[in-house]
Amino acid sequence: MALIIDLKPGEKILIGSAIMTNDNQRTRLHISGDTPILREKDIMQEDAATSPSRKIYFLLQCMYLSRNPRDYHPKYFSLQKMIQEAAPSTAIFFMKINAQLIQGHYYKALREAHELITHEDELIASASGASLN
Amino acid sequence: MPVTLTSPLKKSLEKLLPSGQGASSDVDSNMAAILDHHCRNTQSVISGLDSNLSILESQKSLCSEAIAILEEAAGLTVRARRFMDTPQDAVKYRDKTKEFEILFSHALEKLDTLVKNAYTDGVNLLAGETLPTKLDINGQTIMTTQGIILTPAALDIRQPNFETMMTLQTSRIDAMNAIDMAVTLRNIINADIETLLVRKDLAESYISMGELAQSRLGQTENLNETANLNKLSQDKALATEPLAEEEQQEILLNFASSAHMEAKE
Repeated sequence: MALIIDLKPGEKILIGSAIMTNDNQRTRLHISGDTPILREKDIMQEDAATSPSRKIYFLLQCMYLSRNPRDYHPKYFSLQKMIQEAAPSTAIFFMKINAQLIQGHYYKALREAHELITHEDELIASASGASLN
Repeated sequence: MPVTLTSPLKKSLEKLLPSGQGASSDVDSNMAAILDHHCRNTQSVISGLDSNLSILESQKSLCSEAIAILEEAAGLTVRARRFMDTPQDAVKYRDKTKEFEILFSHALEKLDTLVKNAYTDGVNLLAGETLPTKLDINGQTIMTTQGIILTPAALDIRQPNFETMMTLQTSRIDAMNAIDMAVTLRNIINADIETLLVRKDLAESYISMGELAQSRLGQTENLNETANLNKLSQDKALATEPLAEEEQQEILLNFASSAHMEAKE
């Protein structure tokens, strides 16, 4: 089944290693196949991976884009272990991320990683809130 | 203190716990139970992967045997050609070329028998069957290995006739085309073995991480997740270690530097 993507005017999208930039009108694309597809809003540059969970997101993104995702497994699991050790509550999110990875659903794994980032942000914000109080 | 129940965690637990069971009560125990359940499910998936990997390895060997038979057949056409430099030689050495022709037919029979008996645990990819492999416990994601029929009939290998150079060449072309198909099947099997090994690697790591998390959940009395995460964020080695391989770095940098068209109002 084809993936349907609506692009806003001027929006960029990554398809495999090719970058497509939309012209000045809304466009609808129907894309079939297994090539990685990432919209502009889904792409994280390495310098934006400023927290442990964001690094996880970044590594998942690299796995998705890579021809050999296995190359990223050691870094990914090493970081997962560190994060889980620090915050066991993240285990549920990793469980969901890893369940998608086993099935080869990298994009869905990225979506689950968004939840992990939100969880981390709330944990850190809760301490800031507590310290203000 | 128990782990912190953030809104994403609460939402996740509510989806994963039996209905009616509150996410806010006994968070640690609930999480440990969920992780244990998922680890067991993943172990079942791994058992299935192991079983199918074994089938694929066996089928790959059988495919290699088929290729060897076809290469033997192709080799016979080369040997026969040496007795057919001229049309006169073709007539003069017909007894010799006839021997090669018979051996070619025998090779086809051997191939036919091999293919028809190439079952591993009830699966025969060489007969065009498929092998489905479940990648999750519910069977919602299935990877299917598609076989190719490698019988001489399916591969359109014509009955050999080594009487003339032209008919000999026909047999050679048939054998070479058949080898291509058999090699294609072997490549398909190889690629799927590699994919399943990656998935198995992930699944085993998943279980190992899940078990670690369960044991950690049992030690949350003096836990301060926020402080721990802050400390991890500030870890210098983690902060400076590059994450992306060269190929992905290049893709991402190209994306960042590519022109963003301004929308015209």
